Amino acid sequence: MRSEVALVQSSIDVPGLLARAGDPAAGAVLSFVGTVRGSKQGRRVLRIEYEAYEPMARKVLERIGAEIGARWPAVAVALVHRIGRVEVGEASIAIVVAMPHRADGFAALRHGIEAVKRDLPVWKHEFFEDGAVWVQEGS
Amino acid sequence: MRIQVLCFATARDLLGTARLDLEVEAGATVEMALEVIAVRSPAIRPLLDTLRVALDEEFVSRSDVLQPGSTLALLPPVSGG
Repeated sequence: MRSEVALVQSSIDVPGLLARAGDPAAGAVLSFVGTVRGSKQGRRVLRIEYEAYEPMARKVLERIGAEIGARWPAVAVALVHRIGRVEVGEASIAIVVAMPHRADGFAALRHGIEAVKRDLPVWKHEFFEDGAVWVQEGS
Repeated sequence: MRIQVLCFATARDLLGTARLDLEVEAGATVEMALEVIAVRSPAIRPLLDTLRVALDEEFVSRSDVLQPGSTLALLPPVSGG
């Protein structure tokens, strides 16, 4: 299985991830892309800043990729999280899997994003027009 | 013995620093180190119930024993994705 993980300071290259995941052994290449919403509970979100415990976050992304490879017949897995300032509408995370068949792909993507929400040492600092807060729960 | 503590997100805000050097007794557990930090900086107490901890970049439990030079990371509930 090919595996690619990264924490990046600039735009996530989703087309590049999809292209690199493609493989003659894969009949399904799937992606989950999480993006920054422009409002939260009626308040306008200006931007997000993500902070990471970077060396540990890389290890956790690698672990999640390895879990996917152990549980499903993945041909390729990519997990990329943005850190630093991210504007509304931009991707904050992308997960790509290439599988022989689609059902395994959907299940693996779901596992990947739920594991990220639970364990990835990354924190979202939301900036509103009237101040900023640390988000304390996966959302 | 001396350990290094890394503080993230709300933990950093409450402690007013991203890292600190901490003196703990030999054989101290994670829990004992957290108590030393909370005595020094009581503002962190409300966070302790939900705080997760990592030792040298791996999640650990509070009963794990620290080694000289360990890096203890204070991880508030994560919110990536």
